[in-house]
Amino acid sequence: MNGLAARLDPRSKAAIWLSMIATGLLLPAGPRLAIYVICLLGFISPLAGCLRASIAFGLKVILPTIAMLALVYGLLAPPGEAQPGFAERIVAGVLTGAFIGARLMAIAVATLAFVATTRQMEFASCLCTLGIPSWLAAVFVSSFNMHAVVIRKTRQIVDAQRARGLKPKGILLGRIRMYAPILRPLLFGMILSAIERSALWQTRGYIEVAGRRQLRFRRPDAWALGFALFLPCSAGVLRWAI
Amino acid sequence: MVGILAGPLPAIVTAVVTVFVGGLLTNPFLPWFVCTAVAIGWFSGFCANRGAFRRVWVWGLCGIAQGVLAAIVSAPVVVYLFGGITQSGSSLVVAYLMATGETVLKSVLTAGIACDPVDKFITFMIAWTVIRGFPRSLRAHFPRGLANTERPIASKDSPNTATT
Repeated sequence: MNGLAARLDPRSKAAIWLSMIATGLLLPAGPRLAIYVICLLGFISPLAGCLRASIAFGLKVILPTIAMLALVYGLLAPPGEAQPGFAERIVAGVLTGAFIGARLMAIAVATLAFVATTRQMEFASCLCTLGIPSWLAAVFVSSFNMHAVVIRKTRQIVDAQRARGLKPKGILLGRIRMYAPILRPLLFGMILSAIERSALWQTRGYIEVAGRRQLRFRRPDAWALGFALFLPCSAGVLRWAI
Repeated sequence: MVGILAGPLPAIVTAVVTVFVGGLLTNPFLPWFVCTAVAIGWFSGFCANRGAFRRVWVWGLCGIAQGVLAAIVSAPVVVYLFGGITQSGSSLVVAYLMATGETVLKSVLTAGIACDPVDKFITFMIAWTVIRGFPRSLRAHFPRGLANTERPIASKDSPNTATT
């Protein structure tokens, strides 16, 4: 699929991404939604190369949702005369949590598949072809690049401040004050770095950042757009007609 | 923070870029809250333009107001897109209210208005504390940097206050 994704225009990939999310939202909570999420996890995410990330995200999202709703539904009886038993409330909470978690998974897997099959420069070029100014596309690409740098610098500053005696303990106000010795040097350095990078991008006219505009629709893009239209339409038919 | 230093429009741009980059790199649910991020950025810049960050009690009230605004703007997204339950801690409050028979929209609004003002108040406090610690030369680099982080001083010739 990565070979196919490489031939697709990023706008087609974005259309498929949005259509997968729309399909997940249109399908009613029930077995159909569960089957759809299983298809996403079983077919789309392995082909896109994001199966491990999808499973990890699913465990982080679905299990806490199920546990939280099962706990709340089990402890609280709904108002009314005929109140269900404890086991029935737990089952209702588990089912509600599972279907809400499945909806969240449909959104997450579609986004992860889009991210796994789209490169940064493709994304920036796609933004430029959609009419977004090249300086804003440069901001996006620069932010993607700076993400890893910010994480690394944060770890360095936290280790340095801990070596100087900064310990996260005490009352809430004290803990909030402890953010200042970490955030001030980090943000100060990032602002200075951003000022230098903005001067660099301006001297290059943002052309290198936006990438070469070789985006054009081909036959695979037409098939991709047709698929993107077919998915939510069939979900709508399943919801209202069948 | 960008709203305090530079005004509403840069804050809005920062908010949009942040939710999309964060959504593509860390949390896939962030881009759907772009309207909330825009509202927060605009409100921060709006308060900064009105000089709300010169006095502690004023920006405290603005933080609480921003929390209410964020709860109202994000409620439709949480209800109709996520079914009322997201990954945040306020989902426990929403689940409790839903289990007691309230509608999803009312549960989400109630939980948001109860939790978000405190969150935004703390966020304003952290941003203000951090910016106050920046060097004066760096704050002067931004359009609103000095105006929002230094108190106006009284002129010896006139009883009216004058901005530094």
